Amino acid sequence: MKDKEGHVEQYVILRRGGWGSAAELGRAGARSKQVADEEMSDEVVWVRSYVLDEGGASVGMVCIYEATGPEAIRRHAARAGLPVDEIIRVVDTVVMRADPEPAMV
Amino acid sequence: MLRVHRDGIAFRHEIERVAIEETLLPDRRHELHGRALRVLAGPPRRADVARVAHHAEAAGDIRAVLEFAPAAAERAADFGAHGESAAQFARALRFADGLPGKERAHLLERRAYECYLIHAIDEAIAARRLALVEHRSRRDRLREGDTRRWLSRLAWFFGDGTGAEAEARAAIRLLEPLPSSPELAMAYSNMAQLRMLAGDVAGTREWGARAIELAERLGYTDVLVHALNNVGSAELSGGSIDGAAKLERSLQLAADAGLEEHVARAHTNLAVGAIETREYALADRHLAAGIEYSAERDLDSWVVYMKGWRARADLEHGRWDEAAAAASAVIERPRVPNASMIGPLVVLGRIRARRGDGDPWELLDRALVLAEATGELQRLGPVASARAEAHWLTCRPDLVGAETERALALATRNADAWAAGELVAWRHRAGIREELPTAVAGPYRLELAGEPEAAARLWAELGCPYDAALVRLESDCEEELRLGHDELQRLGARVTAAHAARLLRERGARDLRQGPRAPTRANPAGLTGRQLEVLGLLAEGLRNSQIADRLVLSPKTVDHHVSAVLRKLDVGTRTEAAAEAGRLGIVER
Repeated sequence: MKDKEGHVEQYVILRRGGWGSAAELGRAGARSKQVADEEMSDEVVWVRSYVLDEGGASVGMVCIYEATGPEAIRRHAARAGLPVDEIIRVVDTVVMRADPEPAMV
Repeated sequence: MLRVHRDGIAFRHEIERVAIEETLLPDRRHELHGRALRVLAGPPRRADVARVAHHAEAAGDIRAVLEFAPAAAERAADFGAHGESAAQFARALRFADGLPGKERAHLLERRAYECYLIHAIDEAIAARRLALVEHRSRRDRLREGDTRRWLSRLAWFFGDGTGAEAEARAAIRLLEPLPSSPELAMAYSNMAQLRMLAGDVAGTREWGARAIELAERLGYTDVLVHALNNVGSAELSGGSIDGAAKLERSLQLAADAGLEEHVARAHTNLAVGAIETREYALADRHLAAGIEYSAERDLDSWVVYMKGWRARADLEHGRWDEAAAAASAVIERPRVPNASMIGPLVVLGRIRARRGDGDPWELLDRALVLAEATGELQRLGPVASARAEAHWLTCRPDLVGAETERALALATRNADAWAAGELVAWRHRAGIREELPTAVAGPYRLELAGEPEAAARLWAELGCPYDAALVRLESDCEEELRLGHDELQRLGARVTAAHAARLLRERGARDLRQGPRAPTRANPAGLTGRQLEVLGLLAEGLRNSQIADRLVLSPKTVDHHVSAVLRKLDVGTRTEAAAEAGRLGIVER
């Protein structure tokens, strides 16, 4: 899945205040995966996410996606019922150490 | 392998037919096509001409191709299948070397026209240029002039303003010395069109009047339709509602005379002029009618162009997801002429700048290059305004002056109140203090006169929520600033909202709605847009027949949607569906 020049664009997506519980988050993850993989596989690829402690009643997420553009990310979010607060294009990745094992969705 | 029909024998499967055809040696194939041709072209002549033309070409029968391909082309054109028509003319032209120049030129011109209709502009230009060679070699100044006029129009489609102007003048120079002709009338109208596109109302009226005079005197309906459209468009975009009447007259005459392209053009220019002067009801009517009319007739150029303008109308109404989708669809389409590309690039660029998503400059830079090639205010104005806004949003107001200078000069010269208004407003917001042009449209005039609250109300009446919110930021009143800030957040204009937040904090305002708006829990069950609408009405307690009436659907369609909704929500009854929808936040409780 490449844009016009043949580069794959990667984006960081900030999703704040989205969920009240782990169960809700789980459901959101399932929806997100379904829409991305089954309906929009040529437009967005969900790479990974970090769940954010928002100090109280809610959790948020930082997500890394590959996408054809920010508009595809917003359409995916609308269909999957996810918040989108910021979309920032990634120009480079620097890995210093491996992450701990991610939770399975 | 074969099946017997009532009127013949056919292969059972296309794959078998193709396989057998491919095993045929060229000689044999040639011979078989020849036999088919003789049978189908012989008495009684009942076979479809397109089919005969196909066999004629495959049999290499020049005479037969030249008889049947043009006929097939005209027939396709009559049915509105302009792609097929262009292809049949191309077929004829492949065999046309032996034809007299005049006939070959005619085929070239027909092909060029059909290519124009299906948006294959480069192919249309190529065909016209070949036709030009023919006309010159026979010293046919009438046809030469008319072809130059066509090349002018086609050049415009590619955003080559200079080329368009040069060809337009050449056409008139060639045609004026000859006796009055529809070709001359059309050349005048073409010039009027270029003036209109440049936003020069007076120039449009001058050339338009010459075209209309000739056309009315000598009964050239198509030229009259074209000229009325040009003058009407210039007047409407210039803020005079008389223009709409001329355009409606053009539309009616064209519809009565079956002039498809002109009907599409009338709808388009009514929509465009309406959007430019914020007459959205008029715009919506003609966008809807025009897109439907053009789509039904393969008039792709018009569909694409109008969809680009509809994206702008959606943007201005705060429907940014729709606007972004529509703009992206045009931008990602192959072979879109520059004139149709600029608007969508600006729309998407503005949305990205306001949301802070991705890079608006790749879009706005491209839009600028394309707009500068046209030299027209219609393109330069919106690009300059969008770029000015993007600079302001990224805290570079110092760049706004240079960015907007050329477009403002054009807008002032043309006395274009809306274009001038937006440009002057951005310059003012960037801190530039200057003498105002005489013509500045309503909401901008109020803003510049130091009445942002009144301007906001006027924008709100026009149905432009972002413009209303933006102008509130000029206010001294904290309540107005808060209203602006909240609306900007609701619209998802994160970057603009941040500006508003900064202004409020500088005034010591407290309790700002921090951070993002409430999360989008709009569609957790993956319902389609239509299903969401149905569910919303269902949750209000409407019966299926009432829902059908409200959404203008058949009751059966509504039944299907309701079943799908129950399935997706994993519930058994409507009451449960309504409850689940409330629980998930899809509808308000």
